[in-house]
Amino acid sequence: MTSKKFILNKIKELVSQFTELTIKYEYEESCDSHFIEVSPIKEFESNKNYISKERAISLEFVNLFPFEILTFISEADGIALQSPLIFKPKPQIKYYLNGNKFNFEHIISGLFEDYDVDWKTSINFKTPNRGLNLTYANIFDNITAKKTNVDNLEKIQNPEIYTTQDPILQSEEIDFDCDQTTDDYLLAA
Amino acid sequence: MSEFIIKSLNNFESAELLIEKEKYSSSIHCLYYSTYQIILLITKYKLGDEWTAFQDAKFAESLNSKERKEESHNLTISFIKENINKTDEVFGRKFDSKIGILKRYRTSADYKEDVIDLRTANISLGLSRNINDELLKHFGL
Repeated sequence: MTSKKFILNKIKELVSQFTELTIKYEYEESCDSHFIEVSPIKEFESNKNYISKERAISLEFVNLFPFEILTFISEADGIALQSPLIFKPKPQIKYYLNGNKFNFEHIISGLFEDYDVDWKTSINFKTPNRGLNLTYANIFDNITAKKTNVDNLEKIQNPEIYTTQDPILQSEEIDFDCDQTTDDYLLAA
Repeated sequence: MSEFIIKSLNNFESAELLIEKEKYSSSIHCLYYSTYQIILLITKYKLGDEWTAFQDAKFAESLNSKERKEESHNLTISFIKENINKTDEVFGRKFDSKIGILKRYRTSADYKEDVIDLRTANISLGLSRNINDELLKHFGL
């Protein structure tokens, strides 16, 4: 295994284990050094579990690749990485409606398969969309305000997945590209 | 007093003079070597046997050890990193970060066309001073 592959695997583990982290990685060829920038600073400085994992990675790296240098830094260190690879987990946004839990990411994924989704702020349409660029709040309001009737929800095997009769969507002024949906409208992918 | 200590101090003082003269890139070169000479001091006088064993093992494991010998700074730093991390986790983590950043600035100053400004020189000065002091304290020198 190469040093880069080792590091990328470890970064994936970190992002998976510590979902609040954003990690940037860059290899500096001229000094055979790898830089991993971890944010937010609070986690980098204070999360004992993260620090323990970081230490284990550092020691393993020294053992496997002693002719190279691996350095963990934070934003506060002032190093401007030139063109880093950026790793961050998709947020698992949970919404509650009349006591029922929705995973908003799943709902949006199911509704907007054809769109680029920036999970932090908004959905950006790939196709012409009459200038619409809806935020999560807009979309969620559109969905919930008009069509949600808890009595219509039918819980199926996975407790995170729901189906519902959805007569409203077809008469929506905004085309959510749900033309092919049947009466059993899949809310969660 | 070890010649490494004298060279390290000279390099540090030279860096301060170079910063005064606005020769920022050259100052970072001196600062990096000031710290590296402290590391050499430790490998020679404090961890001699371990350092020899570490080198032998790593060169033996390395597939291209002949080429690697010419660029042994990383190996020396890795050895010190491992040693500190096994005995003092807090200092080990600080050392890892600071030496990596200082080395990056040094590479930028010596091998790239990057403009080195006063701010970067001062950061490097602080890093070198801090690492040197902490290393000497940690290893009782």
